[in-house]
Amino acid sequence: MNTPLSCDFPSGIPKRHRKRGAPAEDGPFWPTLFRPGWPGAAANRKVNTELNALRKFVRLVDGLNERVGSVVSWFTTLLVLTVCIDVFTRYFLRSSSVAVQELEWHFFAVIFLLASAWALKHNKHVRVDVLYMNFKPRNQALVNLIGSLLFLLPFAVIAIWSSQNFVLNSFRIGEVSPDPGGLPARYILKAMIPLGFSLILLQGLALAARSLDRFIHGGEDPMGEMDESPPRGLSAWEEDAV
Amino acid sequence: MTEAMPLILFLVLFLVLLMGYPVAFTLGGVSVLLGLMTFGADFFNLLPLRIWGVMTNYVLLAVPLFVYMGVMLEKSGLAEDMLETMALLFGRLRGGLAVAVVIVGALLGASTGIVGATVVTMGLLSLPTMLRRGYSPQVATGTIAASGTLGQIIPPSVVLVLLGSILNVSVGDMFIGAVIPGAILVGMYLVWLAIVALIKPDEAPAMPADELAAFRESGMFRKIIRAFLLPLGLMTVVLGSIFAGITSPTEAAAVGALGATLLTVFQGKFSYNTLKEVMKECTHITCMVFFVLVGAEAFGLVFRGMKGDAYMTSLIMDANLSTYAFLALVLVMIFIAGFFIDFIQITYIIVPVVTPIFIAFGVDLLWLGILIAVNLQTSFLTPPFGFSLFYLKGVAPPEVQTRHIYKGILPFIVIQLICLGCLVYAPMLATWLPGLR
Repeated sequence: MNTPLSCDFPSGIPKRHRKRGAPAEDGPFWPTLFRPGWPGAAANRKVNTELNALRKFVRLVDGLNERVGSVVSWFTTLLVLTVCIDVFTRYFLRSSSVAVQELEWHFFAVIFLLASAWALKHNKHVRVDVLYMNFKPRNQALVNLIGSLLFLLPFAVIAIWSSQNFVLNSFRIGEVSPDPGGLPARYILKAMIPLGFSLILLQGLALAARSLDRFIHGGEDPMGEMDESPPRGLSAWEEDAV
Repeated sequence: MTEAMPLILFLVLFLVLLMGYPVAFTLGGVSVLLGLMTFGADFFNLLPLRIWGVMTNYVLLAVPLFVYMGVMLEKSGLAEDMLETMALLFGRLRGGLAVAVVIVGALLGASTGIVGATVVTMGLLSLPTMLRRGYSPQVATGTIAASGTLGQIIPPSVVLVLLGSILNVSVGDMFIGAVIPGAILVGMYLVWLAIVALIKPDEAPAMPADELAAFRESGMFRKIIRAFLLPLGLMTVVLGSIFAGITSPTEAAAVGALGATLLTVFQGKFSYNTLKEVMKECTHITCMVFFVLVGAEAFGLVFRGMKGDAYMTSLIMDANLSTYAFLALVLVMIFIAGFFIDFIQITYIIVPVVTPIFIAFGVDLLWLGILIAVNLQTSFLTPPFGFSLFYLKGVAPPEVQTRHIYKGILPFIVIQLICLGCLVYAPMLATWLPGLR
């Protein structure tokens, strides 16, 4: 995602926040709460610095999860190949390996635990959007702000906290697969639970920060739209057929 | 007070879900908050065990694999080719294009199983074409919205995998059980389209003759083989090996995903970018589905902890409902819930709660699963809230109005209800084929 480091609006200052007669494209960006020349100008600068810190955090988390997600997405292909190899050896070579079979669900677990934060970044988690889609952008930002702090945060914290012992106990006894020929070091897979939820926690905080930013700015997203892939364009044959 | 806690949990959850925050985290968050208030933090030591249960579930492994196959067929453009070829193949018939949409919708939706995705794809691919060829907006939108949901019931449907895993019915049996109901639905859709084409030929016209002639000359048979028979063959092999009991659904799904990839390579449509797109989409859908499940595990934990299952059972038993009255109640409840929430949440939240009661009544769970699937599919089609209709309106050109979609979908809803009625009165439709195995 290409977000400029400055905090300018991508398309100039929104109309309703402009001084009458002021041109759209020039002038620095000021949070809409305060305007230059107002008594609050000093406070204004402070808000701006704080917002900048928030944006830095958001960009950092976005970058982290983008990287993790792109790597983890390869596991889908690995999963397909692993199961196919298993099928091939079982039906044609009449032998099957416990390690390969375990690898299958290891991949699967890693995919949905580690990449969920990535899916959150791309706004791919399903919502009940009967009402949500008719909300103004500002209210949508409010929903995301409240939801992240009130629901996502406690859920992630409890999940991380409660899985600590689950992982540590496994590590202490050096747990391995109970089946002969299975994979070693089961605690690594178990550690994916707190790890995945930590990534989700970070991305949830980033979502909250971004929503706050957006809410302050009356629904406009100063960091650029949240990444939502638009519907696919018309198909090629559609153009051929014209 | 403590007795009614599960009910409070349910109500709070439904109200909060309407706010629109992602379901997975709302589910988890509400459950955790209410659980903390009732039991304290130590209660959640059981949560990792539940999540571990999801991680190690071999049956659910089929979901990302089927999604991989479906997304690969779609992103590589194979789905488009298929639709085009089918349209030209049936082009001579009046209403031929609509027939193609129904068949491709059934095949395509079957693998990804996400209603929204299928309806959007089908809407983008075929709606403008249908309108330009002189189809009335009602017929065009009704056909697309209905076919987009066919994937809920036609195997290999993700809904059936999830339902099977929750009802503890073998996924292979669910697939086989869905064959006859699915075929009945497709058959009735086609009969309805034929009737429309007969009575109102100008609402569902044939393709222009010159276009058909051009198709004949430009290597028709090669096109048919490449764009239609090969993907169809792939589906047949995948489903056939499950039905014959040779492979498990998970294994068949992986072979199907590999097959779809090889087919893409074979057609010269494979590229690094396509692969990356497919993996990205597949990962996102997988995360979406399974995080709702993780959230639902937190919900289930707290709900059980509050003795919610016992409370619900006693509530139903005290009401002294007959089996059929309870079935009707549950189906209506799921139907209404289907207006607001996706099948994944319904499967994970409502179904586990009612299943023990059905077991107590001695209901065949396979039959119940198929009923729920058809019921959900109908719910997604029904105005004013049907999911499928929203998505279609979202991608429709501006001249298509909401009332066109509502009018067009009406006959399909009647068809759905007929099928549902048949299933209720003749459970054999769902249970006969699996029984043969």
